[in-house]
Amino acid sequence: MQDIRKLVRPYQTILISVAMILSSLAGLLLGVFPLLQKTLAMEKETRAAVSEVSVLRAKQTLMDSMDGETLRADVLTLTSAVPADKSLSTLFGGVDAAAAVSGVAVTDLTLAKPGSLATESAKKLNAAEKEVGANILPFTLAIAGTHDQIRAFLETISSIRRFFRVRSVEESFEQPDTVEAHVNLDVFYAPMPTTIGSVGAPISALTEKETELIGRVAALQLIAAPQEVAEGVTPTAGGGKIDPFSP
Amino acid sequence: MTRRTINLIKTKTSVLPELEVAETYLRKAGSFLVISLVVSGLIVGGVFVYLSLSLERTQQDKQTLTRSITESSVKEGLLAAIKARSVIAGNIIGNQKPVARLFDTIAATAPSTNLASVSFDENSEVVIAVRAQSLDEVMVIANALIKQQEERRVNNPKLVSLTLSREGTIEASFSFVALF
Repeated sequence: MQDIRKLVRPYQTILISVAMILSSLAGLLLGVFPLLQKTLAMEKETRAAVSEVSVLRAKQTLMDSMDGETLRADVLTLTSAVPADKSLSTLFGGVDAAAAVSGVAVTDLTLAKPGSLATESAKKLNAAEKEVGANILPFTLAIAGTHDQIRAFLETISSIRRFFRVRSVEESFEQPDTVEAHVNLDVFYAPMPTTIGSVGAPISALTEKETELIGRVAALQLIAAPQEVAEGVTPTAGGGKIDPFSP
Repeated sequence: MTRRTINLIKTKTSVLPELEVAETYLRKAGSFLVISLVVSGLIVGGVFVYLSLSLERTQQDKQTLTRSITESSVKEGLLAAIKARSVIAGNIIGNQKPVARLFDTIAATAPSTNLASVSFDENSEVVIAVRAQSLDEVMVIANALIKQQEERRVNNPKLVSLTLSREGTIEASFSFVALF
């Protein structure tokens, strides 16, 4: 034993230094590096969480800045122009109102594909519908009046709050003051969105363009009283004018 | 009697001079690594603790905000509905054709007393049939149509047909593409 001590003594300092190096390396490798890795992962997680919180905070601020009643009114304005369902009552109401204003007589109204009268679930849109992003309900009208009355009818029906689109017109002049016209028109409807984005999904406030558009729609003549938007849900139905053909 | 001496001072060990250099380096390296371990351990540990607290705080904020936003989901739904409907309304308005303006163009081309029929299709192609008492009257209408083209209200005006009836009246058809 003494021999070993004697042999080791000259290298004692070296051995201590080596032991220090080895234990430090072990400490670095087994303690500091794994902790560093954890810290880096945590830093990444924190950064992601901070960015998420910043989106949430912006969303919260936006939500707080918006008035629920104004939003509800805007939805009603837009759904009175493009209802959530076919809303035949506003279709008939619109035709009736335009006819009354212009003085034409509606002699026939044919709905090409009336389909379900109830609120339909979202269905596949055809190419023409995709272009506008809404379902189209085409119909044909036969009207009679003077040329000017028919002009006034077409102008009125294109400027009321239930959106109508004149697709084609065929006028035949039996006599200069008696004109019969067959008008192909479209009305639009689009189901309300049933889902909203996740809580973390960013949202943006209404743009100036959107606000201006809502203003333009609101300025159009309303021919039907819009339905109340139910509390807690997105609106599900459009205008609800009393059927003008009902007794 | 011989005198015996005891040397208590450690005599110089018989280490090689190369080993002495190595010993110096090893001692320095050892000290350096120990200090590094302590310093890096403190720094990394400190940052870890700071980040843990920060993450915890952020997650608490997130929970609070999530709860608050969930409570405002009605507003969010309304906003989403407005945005979706605005796009549709914008598209429809952009797709509507001011047909009344077309009637003004027709009125500027042919008086309603001359009109026999008017048709307007989805491609904005318009055909007007007119009845006239003389060829001059037809020419007036044709010239009016050319003027409308010059004023960029119509495009591609054509005389589609011209028929002289037994009664002496002339029936003519014109076609053009309405520009809105």
